[in-house]
Amino acid sequence: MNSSLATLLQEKRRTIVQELTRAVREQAGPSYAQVAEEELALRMERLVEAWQRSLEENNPGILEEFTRRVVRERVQERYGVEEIQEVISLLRECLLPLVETAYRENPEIFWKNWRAIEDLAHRSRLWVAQIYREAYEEQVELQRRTLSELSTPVIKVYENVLVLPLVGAIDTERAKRIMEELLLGITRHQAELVIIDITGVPVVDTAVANHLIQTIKAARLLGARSILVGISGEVAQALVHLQIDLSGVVTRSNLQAGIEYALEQMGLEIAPRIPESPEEAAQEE
Amino acid sequence: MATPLIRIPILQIEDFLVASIQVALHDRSAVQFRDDLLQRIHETKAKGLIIDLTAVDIVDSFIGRLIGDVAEMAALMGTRVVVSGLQPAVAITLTELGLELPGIITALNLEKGISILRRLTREEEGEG
Repeated sequence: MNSSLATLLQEKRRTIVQELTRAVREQAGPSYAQVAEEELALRMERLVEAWQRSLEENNPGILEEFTRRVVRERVQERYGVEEIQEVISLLRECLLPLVETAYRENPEIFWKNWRAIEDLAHRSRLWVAQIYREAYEEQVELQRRTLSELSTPVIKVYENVLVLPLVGAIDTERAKRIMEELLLGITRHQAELVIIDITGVPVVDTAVANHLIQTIKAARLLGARSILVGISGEVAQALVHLQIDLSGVVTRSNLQAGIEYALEQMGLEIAPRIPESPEEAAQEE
Repeated sequence: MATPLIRIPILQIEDFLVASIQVALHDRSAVQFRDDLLQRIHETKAKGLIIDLTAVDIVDSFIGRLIGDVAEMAALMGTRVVVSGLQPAVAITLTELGLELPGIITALNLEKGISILRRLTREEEGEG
């Protein structure tokens, strides 16, 4: 792009970095104000260096790469996008007077450099906005995935028996995921019985009830029977008031009763251990 | 061009018939399948029929309804129908379409389907 500007950046780097560091500390925003003086100076030096190399090699890609790396870090550290963009504006404000003093005698070079600065600053701000959004969305997506994994655990408690403990409010989005996870769990474990525990679901309205019924029906299509447990007094009231028909669904009071029922369905039961020999019996007493 | 007619093989194991659908069925093939099934039930007087859908990953409302119809018709002819190996995605589609196959017994896989049929027919014989 412009080698005379690169030379200027190299010659005046010390002054630029000093001035920029001060300006950024004072004006760029709360996140930058908290950064230690030397650390901030180092960052600004790298920024100026990236500009210089980009100009020297006439390759804005260098600066773009640098911006990408830095912005990704700043997103992790929760910097605002306007704070990062402000740094670029401050750099521009540092550079323009320098160019003015250096090339006052030569309007042609002056305008050329002026345009180069404006161009790079403009591009940088666009890159920051774009990269920031990408990185931010990635982060949100990552958190969403973690949350969804946490929110739909399908646990195998015994051969052929799964437990699906639901905690927290259920919306349509989550209900869909719950259904998918449960059905996948059923086929993966070849489970015949599924205990759905809604102890932790604070509110059950028609939508939630319908999602549950749909899930139970879909599970039945695969060949698994469902047991609904943990219906609290309030939820029971709500279900009756809303006239939701759960007659086709086996319900039990709590998880324990649900597990007992499931075992019973398979011809099993939880029973006290019978001592095998008289000696053992004597020992236990 | 008309889609080629696919005929699903229907196998007899002891007193039961087993039909495993391995391909996506077009409407015409599905109707042919229904007719074949009823014909075989009539010929063999089978006590049970298992329709295995393990290899089916897409089902539309027509096929869903058809399976429900077959079960009802077979019941009229004295045959129990078990649908086995439904895939999660298929189950979701069917419930979304409101085709929950209420009268049909379902099983996780072919093996469990056979053992359910054995148990049911034994119970019936015991009663009779």
